[in-house]
Amino acid sequence: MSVIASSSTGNRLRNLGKGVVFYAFIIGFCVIVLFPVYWMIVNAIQPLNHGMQFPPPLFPKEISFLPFITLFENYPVARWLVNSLLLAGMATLIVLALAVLGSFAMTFLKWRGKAAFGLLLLMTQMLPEALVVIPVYAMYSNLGLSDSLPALSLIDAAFILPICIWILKNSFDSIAEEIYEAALIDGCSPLGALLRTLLPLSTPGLVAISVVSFFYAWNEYLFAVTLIQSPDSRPVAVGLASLKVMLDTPIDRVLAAALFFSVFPVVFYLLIQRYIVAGLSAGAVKG
Amino acid sequence: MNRPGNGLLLPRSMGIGRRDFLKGTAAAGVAAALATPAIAQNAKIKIPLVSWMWSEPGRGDAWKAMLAKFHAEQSDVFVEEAGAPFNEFNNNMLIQSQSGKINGAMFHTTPDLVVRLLRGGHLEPLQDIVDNLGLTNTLSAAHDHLRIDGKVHGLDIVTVKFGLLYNSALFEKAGVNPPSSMDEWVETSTALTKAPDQFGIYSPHLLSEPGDFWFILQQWAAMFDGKWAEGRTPLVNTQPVIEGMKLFKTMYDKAMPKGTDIATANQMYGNGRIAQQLIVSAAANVWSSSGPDVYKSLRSAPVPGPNAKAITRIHPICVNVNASDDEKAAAKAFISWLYKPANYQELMERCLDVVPPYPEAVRKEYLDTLFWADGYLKGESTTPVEIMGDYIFFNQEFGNVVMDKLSEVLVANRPVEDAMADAQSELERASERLFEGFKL
Amino acid sequence: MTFKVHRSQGFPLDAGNIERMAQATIAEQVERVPRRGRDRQSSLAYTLVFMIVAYLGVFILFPIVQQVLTSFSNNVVGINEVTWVGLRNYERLLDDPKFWVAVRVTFTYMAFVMTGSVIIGLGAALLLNRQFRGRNMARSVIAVPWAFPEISAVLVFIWMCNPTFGVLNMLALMFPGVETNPNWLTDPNMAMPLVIVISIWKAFPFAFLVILASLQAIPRDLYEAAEVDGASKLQMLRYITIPEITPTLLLMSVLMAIFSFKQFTLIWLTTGGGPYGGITETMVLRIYQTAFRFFDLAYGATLGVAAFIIVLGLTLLFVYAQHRQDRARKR
Repeated sequence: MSVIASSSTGNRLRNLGKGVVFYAFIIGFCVIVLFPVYWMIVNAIQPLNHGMQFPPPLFPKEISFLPFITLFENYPVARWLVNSLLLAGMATLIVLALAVLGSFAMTFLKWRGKAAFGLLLLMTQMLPEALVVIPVYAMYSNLGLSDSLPALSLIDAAFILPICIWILKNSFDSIAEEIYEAALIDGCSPLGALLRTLLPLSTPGLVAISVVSFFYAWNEYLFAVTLIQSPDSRPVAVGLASLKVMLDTPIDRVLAAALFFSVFPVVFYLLIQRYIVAGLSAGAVKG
Repeated sequence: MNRPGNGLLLPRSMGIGRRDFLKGTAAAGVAAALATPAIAQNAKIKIPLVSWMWSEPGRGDAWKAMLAKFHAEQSDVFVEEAGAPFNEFNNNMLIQSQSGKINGAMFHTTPDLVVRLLRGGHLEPLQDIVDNLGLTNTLSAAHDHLRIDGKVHGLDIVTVKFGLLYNSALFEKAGVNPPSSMDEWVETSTALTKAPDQFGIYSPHLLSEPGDFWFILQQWAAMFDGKWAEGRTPLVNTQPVIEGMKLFKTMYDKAMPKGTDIATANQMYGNGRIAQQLIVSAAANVWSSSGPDVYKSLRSAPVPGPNAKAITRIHPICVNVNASDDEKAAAKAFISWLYKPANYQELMERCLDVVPPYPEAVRKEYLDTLFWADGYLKGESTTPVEIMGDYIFFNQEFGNVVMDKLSEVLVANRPVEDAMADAQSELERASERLFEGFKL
Repeated sequence: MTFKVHRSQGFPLDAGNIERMAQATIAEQVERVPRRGRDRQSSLAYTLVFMIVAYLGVFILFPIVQQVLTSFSNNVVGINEVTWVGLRNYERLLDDPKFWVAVRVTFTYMAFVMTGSVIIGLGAALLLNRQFRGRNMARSVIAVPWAFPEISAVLVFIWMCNPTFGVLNMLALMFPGVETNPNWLTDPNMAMPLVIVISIWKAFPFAFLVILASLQAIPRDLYEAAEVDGASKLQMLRYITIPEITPTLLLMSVLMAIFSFKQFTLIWLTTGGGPYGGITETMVLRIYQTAFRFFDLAYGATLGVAAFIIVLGLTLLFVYAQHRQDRARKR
């Protein structure tokens, strides 16, 4: 299945040709996929009037960090970031805790009603947030929970939990039941076996649901903008939207902020991606 | 099905929020921590002012300065910033009103929102403030639709009025003047257009920006003295409205950067690449802070048109009917303070506003310094109620029907008459449903 | 760099969950034999599941019940009196041409985004499953749109599609016969395809990652055996690869269907449902418009309930398809 693997000398030239085509294709595909990201960077770091010519220059004509400076001077960007990190962090922790228990029950415990439970999870995944935001606000407001990041992380976690239970259940499915039973025979309680034996074996699954729930809470906007009112508690998604005001949108600052907003999840993904890969290969050794 | 007024709990200040929250880890703990009354240090009563304005360039700073002044003059009431970005503000208030009570003792409202809140019974009457300040007979007529039993339920904090705001530098360069007739206007706007570098005029026209699209589109019919509806009768296929929509289509084809979103158009305006905008006076304030270069060249003319009327809207400040008595008193104290001539004059001057809620609220010396305000001061006014009839309560739904059909004219060249006839019959069909349950 | 991955330890999304859920019902009915410790197990299970159901109940199910109730009322913000109106909102729904347009648009959009993401994700995964220098970098690059926030994506796509100076015009003008800049998002014929392309751009990397992981989980010996038998690469793809990853493909189809059904930001901020006549207005946009812009909460809730029922039906169809497909494979 390999392209560059050398074969007989006669075929080498043909393989080289194939390799060039293959690389050209891969590079072309990557360029198309990355172009919007590139375009955002170009227009965020060059003064806007360059991007508003036709044809626009494909490479930045001059570099100016003025929009970034204006952004940081005029808006509490650092505070937004801290809020978003707290929010996404808390939501991820809640999801991790509950998804582990839920998938454990789905995979290793024997009880009736699993199928109904599974379908219930599936159902809750299909609800658009706009459908529940009014009752949720009413509930939060009656409980005095509006304007609170921890409370917001609870609802964010609820909306991404079902899919995370699925994902983790799949990871648990791949662990042989004997391993769990052996732990029980060794005198572990079921939850002890879960903590000591099963969790260490399902790292890729745990990483995957962390990424999924982190992204969700990082990007979630409707609940955040509805439940958070004081400017001090705004996460980045709401802060970014607050740049657009009644009669004006400073588009250079918006692009700068959007770029900034995107850097964290992308870096987070790139860092953790290695870990998923590592987890995958570790699995091979274990298996 | 919570209804407003069943107030299970009194609204509480949103200000003490986050620090307390971060202390508690469990949500239950958080709830308990917040259940204490919101009376903060120094025996001050803290009340939030829920608004979208805090992050507006210019206007946000003006309001912050006014709060600072208020806090310096007295120490009983402390007013805090709260709210959501402008785009979400209406939604937030709506969601809150449906949950049974609106958060916050005091809030700013938009023209659309305030009529719904008024009907929903969310607003405290503010007539006593008006009477105590001796404004009973001088408060502007634009407040009339906010009265129940003669009592006004909201007080204007910014009147926005339409005019033709243009870049005089571009006008000079092209040797044109503000239009004296509609044909001349089309001519000069076309002459000012040198695509893709410069465009004669911009008016929002994307369904992805429906709020602004409709807000400004209404003015295009008012230029021909058109009314969109009278009472419950839609009038979108009447001559003035059709004239207005035809003009829009002509300008769209000849002088607008087609398909351009508002943010980008504003940027182009700031760079001197769009010559005119049919826009409200408040826009000038935005340019004074975010586009100082273009600000110097700004001039205004009254809305063009033979019998043109400039739509004038007020954005009222309101007090929450469900707030505690102490909070209401505090909110009213703030509004009374704000509405004193000296303070309101300062607010207007900081905001660069031109239309006062009552005559003494603006200094003539100040208006004389506004080199760009001429057209706004001269134009004849009309109100949303006058041009929208009873559909003022269904402004967005009405607008969506019109915008949808007009978009077909713009991008698919459908004749205006056909499109507006469709819109008319669609609105007629909807009217019975809309007004059922609404006793006006 | 090769990652030889044991079949059982693939990326956590690599097999058919739904199908297992469906099977669980059958398994439960068959497996009635009492086991040691079963009672203790089930009481622990019920405690755990109760916690989760209670949690979801408070935050999702309870609000949904409230919305269902609202759909039987006349609740419009500012109405004089809220009363029950029975099925009247549902009658209005059946007569509402805009609703039916939205249903059609939703299905079109879902179908294209779903198949597009899965096919492109599959293609990319097959390509990047080969060994070559720079493979890891290509994998990272392709996954970036998944991590890229929707709101940022919208901003840059609007900018690229601007009819006056958007960079896409440069591309369009290269085509013979294109003399002027297209109108892109306001062109009635281009709006829907563009929205679909943007959505696929955002969605396919997730499919790509999951499919790639499941490709890696296919045992190498299957291919080795096929090679010995003299099978061509195409035959291996047809008879080994595709059948092995079919459960994953089905699962991805469901997830992509859910993603596209719920999609709001990417459509609302690019076309707002336009350019006219609801050409790109999906049900979720319609719900949002009705409830939040027109203040008609009761009808908004009705649209929500209807949309939910439609998609629930669709999902059950998937469960059924997956179940059948799996049984056919076992035979």
